[in-house]
Amino acid sequence: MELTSPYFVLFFTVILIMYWLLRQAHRQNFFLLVASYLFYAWFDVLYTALLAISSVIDYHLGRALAGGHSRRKLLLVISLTLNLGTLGVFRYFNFFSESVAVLLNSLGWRVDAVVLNIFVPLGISFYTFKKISYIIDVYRTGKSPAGNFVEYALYVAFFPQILAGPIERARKLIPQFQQTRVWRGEFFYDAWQLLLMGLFKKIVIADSIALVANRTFMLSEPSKVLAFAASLGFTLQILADFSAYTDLSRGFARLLGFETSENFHSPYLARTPTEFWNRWHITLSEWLRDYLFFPIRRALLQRERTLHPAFAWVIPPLATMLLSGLWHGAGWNFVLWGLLHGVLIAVYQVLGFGGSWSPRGALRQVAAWAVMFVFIIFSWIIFRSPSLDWFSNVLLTAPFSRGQADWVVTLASLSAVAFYAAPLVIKLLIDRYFTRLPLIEPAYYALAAVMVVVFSGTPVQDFVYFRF
Amino acid sequence: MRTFLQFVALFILLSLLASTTLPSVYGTRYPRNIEPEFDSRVRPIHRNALIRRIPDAVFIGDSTLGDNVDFQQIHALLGIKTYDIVIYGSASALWYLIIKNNIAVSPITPDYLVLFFRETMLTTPDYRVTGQYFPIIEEFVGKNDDLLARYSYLDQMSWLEKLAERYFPLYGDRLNFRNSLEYRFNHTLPLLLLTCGEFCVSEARELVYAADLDMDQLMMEQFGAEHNLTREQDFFFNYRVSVPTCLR
Repeated sequence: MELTSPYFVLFFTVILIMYWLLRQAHRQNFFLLVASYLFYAWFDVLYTALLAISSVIDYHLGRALAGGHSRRKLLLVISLTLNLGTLGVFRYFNFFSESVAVLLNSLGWRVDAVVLNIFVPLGISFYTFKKISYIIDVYRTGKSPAGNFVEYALYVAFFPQILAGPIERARKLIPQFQQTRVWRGEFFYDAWQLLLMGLFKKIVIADSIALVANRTFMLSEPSKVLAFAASLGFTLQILADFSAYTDLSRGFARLLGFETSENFHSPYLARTPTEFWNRWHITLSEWLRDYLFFPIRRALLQRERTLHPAFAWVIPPLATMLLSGLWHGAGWNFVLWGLLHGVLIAVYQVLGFGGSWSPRGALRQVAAWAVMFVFIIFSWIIFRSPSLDWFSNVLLTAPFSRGQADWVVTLASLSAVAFYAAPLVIKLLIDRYFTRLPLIEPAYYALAAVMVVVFSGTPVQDFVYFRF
Repeated sequence: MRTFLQFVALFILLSLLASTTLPSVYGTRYPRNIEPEFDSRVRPIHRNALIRRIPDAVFIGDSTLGDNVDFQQIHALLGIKTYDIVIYGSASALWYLIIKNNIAVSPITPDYLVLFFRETMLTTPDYRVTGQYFPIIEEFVGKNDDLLARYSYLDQMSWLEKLAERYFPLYGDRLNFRNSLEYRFNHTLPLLLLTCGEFCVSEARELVYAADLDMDQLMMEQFGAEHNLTREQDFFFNYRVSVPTCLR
């Protein structure tokens, strides 16, 4: 039941009507919890049980932590072990098992990898991170944001967010669950633009450009120009695809009366790696910053006397981005992708371009942006590569071009990228400079709606971030 | 509120504009006939083969039949003559048409007709979705195959889609319009910089993608998916179908 499917529209319409007929917050919450579990069970009943059991355990651990339990650290460790252990088994066991087997075989020991034949539960990375942030916040503050189990379970399983985020914080969402909600027209007026843009970005842009990019990534060894064009296509695809999901998720949540977090803020306009991560998948970046980056940096700064100061600059971004890479997928290309971003952040910081650094003058701004954009495109090739071998072949052995045909296909791909990217650029310009001009915004949305109709009726592909 | 109302008004205006221009651009008449238009010609290849060979049994199926059934062994064990129609990736629409328009109308009627298929088997996805399946259906479909039109085409659409297809040119002509747009999206730069048009781009794509497609990788992905989606025993024919001992 995709968020763009007619089944979901039907499901959501029924839920919406029944939800607003309920007048009290606790009833609305219970109803939404049931709806969320039904939605998740549509994909897999067994993993719904996993979600329920892990939510029960974490809720009680959180309560014990907030209740001033004498062994608070132990409770935190139990919760983290359970959550990271579950994530590890489902997402990373096969990857590590196969990697260890390859390593041992290369050393001369004949070892077969133990492989688990299991599916990764949908959205496990997203809801596990929500649960971890909840438990760490309770540990740090000594207060439990959730007043009862329903509020906590709904926070974890909230159906507009469970498959691909945003990774909302409890302190933002749970207080909204606790308020009495009454239907207001503004919910619809806020939501329709998000829903329309979500559909437009997914159906018109992401799925169309995916066809252009995917074909090249299926080649065994494309030339460098082809790989560049495909990577540029994927750069557009992943932004349109993921931000479409976030828009839809936020739109549906808004119709239910909730204000949820933005995940993207023109990430490709970033001039530094730090700025990029402040604009790309914002809720994940904030999570990584609060629960990994800062704690690691604090720990290193406390050991300043024994450690070289450079450690405090280099280790936190490397460790954080390495884990960010692994969060995105169990594969060496994701590890390398994360490491590259970690190295970029560290290098920029060492060079004095970290934090809130901003170049002076238009020319420098453009130069900084261009350099960063090249890094972004390059990093997406690694991310999208079928394997590290494929990437190293393209980088090291593939020719720049195999002839006229490569150039023609590259130009055709670039042409498509330019056309499909244009609506996003136009939207950005409208939002920045033309919001006060009458009819510009509604005209844009009307054209977007026409395009949704024109591009509808073909099978919609899975959202890219569902895999994570 | 105001933005929304303006949006609705402009959307209606654009839809009306499209409704007047698209039919004339693409030569479509509305209300449109949404049923598929088949010609009366049917390829009689299997009908003729039956007359020629006079078999005792006809086997029809997909790769399950092509890859898993030993025809010589069957002949040796049962002593019957079979005529085998193996179409890889085929499905019920095609088997129905072949049976109805070739076998049932043949003056030679074999004693047995056996269908071989396995519902757990994946087929190469682009075989169906890129339309390679349709030309084969065209070969065996007759003018009055209403059942096929209903099940394979009309029932795939909801009532809303049927209504939109029939009366709403923006939707009914969307594929034509989309193709025109995509043509511009894909060809503008090659045309401007290399004076390379549709044929030239298509030829270049053929050269780049078809030559270097990693079929082994593709097959591995497919087998991997099958392996994950089904249990080990599902791949064994005898487990799936209670085949008579003589055929095992």
